[in-house]
Amino acid sequence: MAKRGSLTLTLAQGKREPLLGQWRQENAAGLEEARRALYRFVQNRLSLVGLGLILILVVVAITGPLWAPYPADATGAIHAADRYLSPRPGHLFGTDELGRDVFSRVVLATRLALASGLIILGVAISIGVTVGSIAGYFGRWLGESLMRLTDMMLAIPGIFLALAITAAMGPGIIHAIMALSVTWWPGYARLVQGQVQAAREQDYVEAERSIGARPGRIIFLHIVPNIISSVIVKASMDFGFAILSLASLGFIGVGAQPPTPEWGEMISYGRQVLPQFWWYSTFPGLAMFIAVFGFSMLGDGLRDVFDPKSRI
Amino acid sequence: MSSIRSRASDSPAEPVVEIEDLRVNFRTFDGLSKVLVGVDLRLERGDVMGLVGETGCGKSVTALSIPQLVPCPPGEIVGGDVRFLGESVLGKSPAELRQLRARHIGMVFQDPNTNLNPVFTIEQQMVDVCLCRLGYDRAVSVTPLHGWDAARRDLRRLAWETAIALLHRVGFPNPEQRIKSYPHELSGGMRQRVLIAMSLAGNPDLLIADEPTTALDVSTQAQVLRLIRELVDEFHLTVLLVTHNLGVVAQVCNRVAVMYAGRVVESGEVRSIFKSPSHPYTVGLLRAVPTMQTRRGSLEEIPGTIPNLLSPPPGCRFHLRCPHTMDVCRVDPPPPMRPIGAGTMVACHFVSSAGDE
Amino acid sequence: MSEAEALLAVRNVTKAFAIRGGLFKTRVGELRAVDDVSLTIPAGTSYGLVGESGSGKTTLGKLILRLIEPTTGQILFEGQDLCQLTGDELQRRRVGMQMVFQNPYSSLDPRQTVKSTVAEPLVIFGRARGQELDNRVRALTATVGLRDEHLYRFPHEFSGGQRQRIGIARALALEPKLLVLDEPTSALDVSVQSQILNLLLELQQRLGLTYLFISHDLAVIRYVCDRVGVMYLGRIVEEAAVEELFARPQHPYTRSLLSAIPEPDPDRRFQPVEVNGEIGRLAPDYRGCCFAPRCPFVMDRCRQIDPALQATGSAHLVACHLYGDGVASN
Repeated sequence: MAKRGSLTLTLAQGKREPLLGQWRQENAAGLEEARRALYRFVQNRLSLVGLGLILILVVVAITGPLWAPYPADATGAIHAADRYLSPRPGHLFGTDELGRDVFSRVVLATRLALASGLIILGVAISIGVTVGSIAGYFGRWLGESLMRLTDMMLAIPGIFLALAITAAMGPGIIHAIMALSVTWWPGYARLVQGQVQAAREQDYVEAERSIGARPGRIIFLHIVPNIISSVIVKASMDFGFAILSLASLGFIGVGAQPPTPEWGEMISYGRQVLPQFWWYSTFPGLAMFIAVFGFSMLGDGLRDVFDPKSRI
Repeated sequence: MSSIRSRASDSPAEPVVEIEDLRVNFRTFDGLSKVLVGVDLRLERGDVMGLVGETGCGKSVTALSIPQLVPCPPGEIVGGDVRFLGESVLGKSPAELRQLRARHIGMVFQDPNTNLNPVFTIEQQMVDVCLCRLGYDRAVSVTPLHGWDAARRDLRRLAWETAIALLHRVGFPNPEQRIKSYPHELSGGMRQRVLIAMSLAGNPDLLIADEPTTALDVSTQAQVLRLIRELVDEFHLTVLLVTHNLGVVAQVCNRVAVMYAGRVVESGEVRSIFKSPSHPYTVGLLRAVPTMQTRRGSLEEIPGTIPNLLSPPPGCRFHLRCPHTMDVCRVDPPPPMRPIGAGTMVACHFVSSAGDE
Repeated sequence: MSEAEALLAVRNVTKAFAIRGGLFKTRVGELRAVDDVSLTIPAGTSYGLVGESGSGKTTLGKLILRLIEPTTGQILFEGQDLCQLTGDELQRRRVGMQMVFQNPYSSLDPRQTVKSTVAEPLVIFGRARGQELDNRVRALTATVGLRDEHLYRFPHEFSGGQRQRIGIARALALEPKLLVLDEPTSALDVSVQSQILNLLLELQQRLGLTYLFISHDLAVIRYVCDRVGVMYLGRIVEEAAVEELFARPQHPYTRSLLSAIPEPDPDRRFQPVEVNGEIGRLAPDYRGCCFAPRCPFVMDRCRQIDPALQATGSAHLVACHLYGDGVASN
C-alpha cells in the first residue's frame, strides 16, 4: 500500500502518486454532501427551470457576439432605410428607430446585464459581509455604529442614491454599476450581522477561542462558511433585481449610454412608440423577465437545499 | 366538587397497555430506518414501568405509539399491534384518538421550556385543559371558550377550581395568585409540576412521562420524582416512565423494560433485574453506570457504538458488542421474549440457550 | 500543599454581571456568577467542581481560561498571574491549558473535517506543517481511539461519544498541562460515558495531565477526581478529598445534594433531605450565607454574616456557621 502523505507535500516532491484517488479520499465527505445537495435541488422542478433559463442566458452572453446576426448594430451602425421593421425572418425581433436589429442588440445586452449583475453583487457582498460580520462579532459600540451606518444607507431608497451618485459622477454604465454596488451592500450587512451574532454564541466559536484563534480567523474561517448559505440564497434572488435596477437607471437615462445596448434603455425608448411598434419594448422586457424569473427560482431552490431542516 | 377521583380498578386482569411485536419504520433522506423491530410490552394496572434505553433505542417512539402520536409520515407502523385497555389503537379514528388522549392518557414531556405555550398564562392553559375534559364528561361543546351564557360560565368556573385543586396537589405554591404567571416566569421544576397537573386533569388511566426530569437539576429532580411517586400511590395511576437514567428507574419504578436498538431485550421486576440482570446488554449497562460504590478504574465499558438503524447488523443488533456472541446471534434475530423466572422476560439467544441446559 | 507547588491557584476570583433596568438601562445591581472563589490544584491531580444550575461552575471554568474576564481576583497558572497578561503573552501561556466542552454536537465546527479540527491548534500556533502536521494529527486521533478513516469526515457523521473524542484530541493537540472539562459526559449515553471516563483516566495517567472536572453528576466526579469543591450560587461551600466528602458531608447543601441522587439500586431508596423551595437568586445587597434561604438548619447569624471557608478536619473546608470555630455544632 502506498504510503499516505499530505497532498501538498506530495506535489512538492513531484511524486506521481495517484493524486486523484487521494483527493477523492480527502474530500469524500464534501463530495457526499454535494451529491446530496444536488439531489435535493433536483427535486424542485421550478428551480430546475430557473437554472435552465439562467444557463441559456449565460450561454447567450458568452457566445452571443459569435452568432448575433448584426453585431455592428451594437456599436454604432445605423441603417436608416430599415427603421421600425416588424419582426420577420432576418430580423427576428424587428428593428428600432435607427434600423438596428433588436434581436442582436438584446443578445449583446445580455452580456452586459449578467456581468454587471455579478459585479454589483460581488462588490455588495464583499463589503456587506465584512461590515456585517465585524458588527455582529464585536458588538457594542463598534457593532452599533456600523449598524447605524448601515441603517442610514438602507433608509435612502436605492434608486435615488444611485441617481444622486450618477448625477454627481456623470452618466455611464460604469458609474451606474458603482452606484448600485454602494446601495446594495447594506442589505447583506444586515443579514450577516444577525447571523454572525447568533453564531457567536455557538459552542464551537468558544472552542476556537480557547485554542487561541484570533477573531479574524474565527470570523472568516469558521463563522462565515457556516452562514454563507443565506448569503448565497439572497444573492441569487438579488441578481434579477440588480439587473432590474440597472435597467431602471437605463430607463431614466443615466445608465448605459447609446449606442451600447442595454435592456432598460431599450424598454424606455420603446415606450414612446408603443403600441404601434410594440416589439421595441416587448423583447427586451421579455429578456429581463427571463433573467429575473430564472434567478428567483434558482434562489428558491437553493434555499431549500441549504435549509438545515431538510438535512435529515 | 373536585373532579379528581381515585379510580378503582375496573378489571384487574386486563392489562392497561399491551404492545405486541410492534414494528415501526421511518423514512429518512438516506433510506428506511427500522426504528422498532418487534417491541413487546405489557403494563398491568398500577405498574410504574421504566422504559430504559439509550439514544436510538426507540423508547420514545414506543411510548408515543400508545396515544398514536408518532408522526406518520415520516414514520409508518408496519407490523404488530398496540392495545390500550383491551382495544387496538391502530384502527381508531381521529375523533376516537382525541377521546383517548383527553380522557385516558396523560402525557408529560421532557422539556418544560418548550412544552408550555409561552404566550399564554398558566391559567389560560390549565383552564383550557380542564374545560376540555369537562366538556367530554358532559358532552358539551366548550368552544368558544369565552362564551357569555350562564352554562358556559359555570363550566369555566368549575374548570378553574379544578385547575387550582390540581396545582395544589402537585405542590405548586400559592396557585390562586401564581396561576396568572407566564411560563417564563416560573422555574423548570415549577413548569414540570404544571405539566404534571395538566396531564392529570383528564383523570387518566395511564400516565406517559417521557424523560420528565432530564432537564432538571438533581435536587428538583428528586422533588418531582417524589411527587410522581406520591401521585401514583394516591390515584392508583399506571405510569410508563421513559428515561435513560437507571437511578431514576431504581427509585421510582417497580417494573422495568430495557430497550436496545428497536427491541425490548429484558423486562421484569426492578429488583430482580437490577440485582441479577440476564441480558448481556443489561449487564453491561448496569456495570457502566458510576455509582457511589464504584471503585476508581473499575467502570466497565460496552465496546463499540449503537448500530446505524439504516443498515443494522444482521441477526441480533447487539451481537457486535456482546461478550457472549454465538454463531446463531450473527444470523438470526433474537427469539421473542421468554420468561426465565422471577417474572423476568428476556429476548436473547445466549440466555435462552443457557436456560435450556 | 502550598500554593507555590500548585499548577493552578485561583485567588478570590469574582465575576459580576451588571443588571440593567429602567428606561436608560442604568446599572441597578449586579449578579455575582462567581463570588470570591479560591482553590488550588496540584499538578497531576483532578479537582472536581460540582454544583447545579446557577452555581457558577461553568463560569469559573471559563474564567480560568480567560474566555471571560474576571471582575476581580487572580488566576495563577504555574505561578504566573494570567490576569496581568495580554496579547501574545497570554496566547503563549494559554497553550498550557485547554478546555473540553459539554455539548459534542455544537462544540465542533460543522463545516470542518475532523483532521482540520484537530490540526487547527497546531496551525494557529505554527507548531507543525505538512507531513509532520499530518503525523501529529494521526497520533492524536489514535490516542483518543479514533481511526484514520475518520479523519476526513464531518462531525455530523459521528455519534456523540466519537465527537467528544474529537474534542479531546483537539484539546490535547498543544500538549497542555491542564484540561478544564466542562461536563464532558453529560450529553452522552451511559454506555459511551464509561468509555470516555476511562479514556480520560488513562490519558491522565499516561500524559501526566491535571484536570479541572466540572459536573453536576456526583458519581462521575467521585469516579474521576481526587478532590471536590461544591459550589452554590457562585461560592464554594465545601471542599474536601473525594472520599472524605462522600463519607462525611458537612455542609447542609452538600448533604441535601448527596441525598437527592437517585442511585441505581432499588434497595437504597433515597430519602431526599427536605430543603425549602428551589435555587433562587440572592438580592444584590445580601450579605449573609448563600444557602440561608433554603437551609433547614438556618440561624439568625446565617442571614447576616456570610460564613467563610474554614477547615474542620484534614484538608476539609466548610463555609457554614454550624461549624464555626472548627467545631461541629450540629
